[in-house]
Amino acid sequence: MKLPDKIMNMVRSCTFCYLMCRHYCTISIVQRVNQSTPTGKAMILYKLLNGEIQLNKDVAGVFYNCTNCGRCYIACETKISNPPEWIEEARYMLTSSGVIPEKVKALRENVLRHGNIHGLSEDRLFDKISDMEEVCEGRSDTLYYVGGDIRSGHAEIAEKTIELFRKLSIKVKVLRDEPPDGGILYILGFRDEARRLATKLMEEIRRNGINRVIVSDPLAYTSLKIYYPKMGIDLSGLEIIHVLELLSEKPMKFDRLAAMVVYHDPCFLGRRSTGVYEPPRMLLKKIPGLELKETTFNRNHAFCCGGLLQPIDEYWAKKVAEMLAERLGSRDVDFVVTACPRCLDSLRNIGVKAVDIIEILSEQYLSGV
Amino acid sequence: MGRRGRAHYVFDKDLVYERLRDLLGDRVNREEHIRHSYVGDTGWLTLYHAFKRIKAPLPDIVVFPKNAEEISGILKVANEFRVPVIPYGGGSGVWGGTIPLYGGIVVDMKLMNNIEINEEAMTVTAEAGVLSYELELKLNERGLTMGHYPASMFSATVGGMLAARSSGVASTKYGKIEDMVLGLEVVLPTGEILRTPVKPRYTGAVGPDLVQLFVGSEGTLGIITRATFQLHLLPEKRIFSAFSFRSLEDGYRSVVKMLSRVTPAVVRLYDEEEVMRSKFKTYTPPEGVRGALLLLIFDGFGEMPELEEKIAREICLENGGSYIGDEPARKWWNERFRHYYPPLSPSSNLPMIYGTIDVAATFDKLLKIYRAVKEALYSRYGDYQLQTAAHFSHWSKSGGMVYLRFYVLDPPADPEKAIKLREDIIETAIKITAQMGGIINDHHGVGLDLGRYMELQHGPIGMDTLRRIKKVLDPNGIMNPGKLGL
Repeated sequence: MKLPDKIMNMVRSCTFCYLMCRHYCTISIVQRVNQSTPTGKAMILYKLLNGEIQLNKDVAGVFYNCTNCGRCYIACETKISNPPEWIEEARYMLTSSGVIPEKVKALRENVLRHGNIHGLSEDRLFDKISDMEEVCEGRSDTLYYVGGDIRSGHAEIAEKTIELFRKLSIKVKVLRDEPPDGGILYILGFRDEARRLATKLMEEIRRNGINRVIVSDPLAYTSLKIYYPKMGIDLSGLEIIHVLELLSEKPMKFDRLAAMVVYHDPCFLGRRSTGVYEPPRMLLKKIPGLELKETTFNRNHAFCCGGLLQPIDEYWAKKVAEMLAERLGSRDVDFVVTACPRCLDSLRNIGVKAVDIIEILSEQYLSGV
Repeated sequence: MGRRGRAHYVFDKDLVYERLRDLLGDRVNREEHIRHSYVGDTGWLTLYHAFKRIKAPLPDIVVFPKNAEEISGILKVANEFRVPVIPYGGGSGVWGGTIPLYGGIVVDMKLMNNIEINEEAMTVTAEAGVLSYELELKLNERGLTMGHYPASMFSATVGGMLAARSSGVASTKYGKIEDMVLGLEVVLPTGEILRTPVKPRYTGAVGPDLVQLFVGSEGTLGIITRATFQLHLLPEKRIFSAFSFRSLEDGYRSVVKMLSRVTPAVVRLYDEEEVMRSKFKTYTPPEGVRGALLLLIFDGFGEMPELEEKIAREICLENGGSYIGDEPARKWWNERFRHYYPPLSPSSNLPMIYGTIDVAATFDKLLKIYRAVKEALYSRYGDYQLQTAAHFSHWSKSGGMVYLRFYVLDPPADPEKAIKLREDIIETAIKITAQMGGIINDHHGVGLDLGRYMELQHGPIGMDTLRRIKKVLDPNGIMNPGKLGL
């Protein structure tokens, strides 16, 4: 087992660091044990590669005991090492060796067989939108890429997005059989499968003459923006934009909504991605009567919801969500607004009233200006 | 790492493991990779062993208790089977205090993380596993502070800070951890749970102070599980001020004079080597000017910080100092954690030998000790390209501390020789300090590395007193054996 030199330098930096991100690492804050910290994981990896520790499924599990949120990198003042990057590389090494936890294998199967992380078998998009066939058959050089976790678990987000597009005369096409973007598989270390899915999706995009892709799911957005170039996927001539970036540029008027809300920045729309922090805030501020509360830890410092850990470790994912709810002050607001299907699930699962920003925008929409 | 002393522990690991499982369920672990996660601290010795892939002692079992009662149960099992017990907080120490020298049970305290703030009393009671950062964050959200800002605050725990006599950068005003603590809960080695009364500072004539018996005991006399601390209001302002001096003596004299008149939160006097070496460049002296740098921070309310700064400034100017603005001190405050991150941290340069001699003394002795130690190190270890850099900080009304870092740029490749060389350097510095009437450590503790100098520090009768206390409290010698010279 070996890692590339650049990655090994990062591992070494973290191994011999003075635990300077323990206070920021999401999983470390909730679990509170040495092996959860990036430094702890680095030390185990370092010794695994040296042969001082023998590989087994529990050791492999150390590298999946992570929410993939990237707060560690925010804490690192010198940015010498990016733990999510070397953890993903370690996972790739592990999947190549075949020693991986069962739940991780099951998650991979869910994505490959059903296109979503929870293994939901139904694509509910067609239940929600009566004229979905027309949207799929329509001609447009703009693709609305929904993402499997929304299509199967939160089709209402896609429904409301398409409604808004129509009101704003944004013509889009949706793929009837949308290939999974593959990003989650890349994150989990299944790079060959991830690249296969990415290639398939890109073939569909090219075959349909698409030059702009509007993405809903933050993870899918990050896949296309960040992971596809890493996988060597050619994105030339293709504009990739998150739906909130697009909407924030459109003049719109909204009906009054008397409510105090807090916005939760999803990791994969923020620090793990391109930092889409302002568009959701700009949109929410356009709604009369809506009071947007900010927390100490927002934008790139935001806490994580634990959504990607949920299929692997339900118990700790819930603890992470509880910490997020507390840090958001969810009890002091009417509801939490966010922009990610997994953040919605994580918060709703612990009884927090959480609403997707698209639902609010769609409900309160009065007119384009 | 050399197992020192005559301690010898033989126990049925499976049986102990099963007994602990009965108490804690799945919060008992003996998997190889978990044991490797608790091999020591962030000190040179631990990290050098990992870097050089030298086999280091591992704990046999790691446990994760949630309350004092569980710890009591663990200690009763440990006594029954004569198993070493190593209390473990953040693992951020630097003298090897948490190295499981003889194996045994590492007790990770971090699951004990409850915090209770009593605003009426202006106290906070925190369990031992709370991180310093977590505690301060929670207090700050209520407009409160402990005034405790150690460099290790992102990873150190309340229990660890008390056990190793932690000091923060603002200790001149707010005191060390031992000045902040008002009461303790401690599980004694034999399993009894001691809860001291919460006694306001400078009060109480009720015999010897049991709290201070356990502060600094580094896990050798019991396990601290909870502590109550005094609080302050979060200051409404901080005033920064910096001065350059053509000589260290001028700067030193200024500090000593100001400390009997004003109380800065932060006083840091840097020697020439540290000014030039400092990787985060708070201040670059003008061409041809060498000397010392003084950073001051005053905090508080109303006009007080400005008034105190004014008095301090007058003293500095009268004693050869030049005012160089507020920026160097402000920059230091804002970036003070930066050089603990790789690649700026010394550990990034392993296998380089490095270490810190943080020793304390009264005003009349401190500068002399610094000079003598520095001269001895350069004259004896110059062949290894030894360099030093020092600052004086953590001052009080009766003295201060010099924090002298050493770096051996050309260390022996042979680990045995490298470890021995580092020990020799430390011994040279410690012996000179002790002979000149200094205190051999200010705020990093004793751990494994300095244990052998405890008798030099306390004298044979003092050390015998400590050993007798240890024998009474820990009759089977299970608590963190090999540390603190006990």
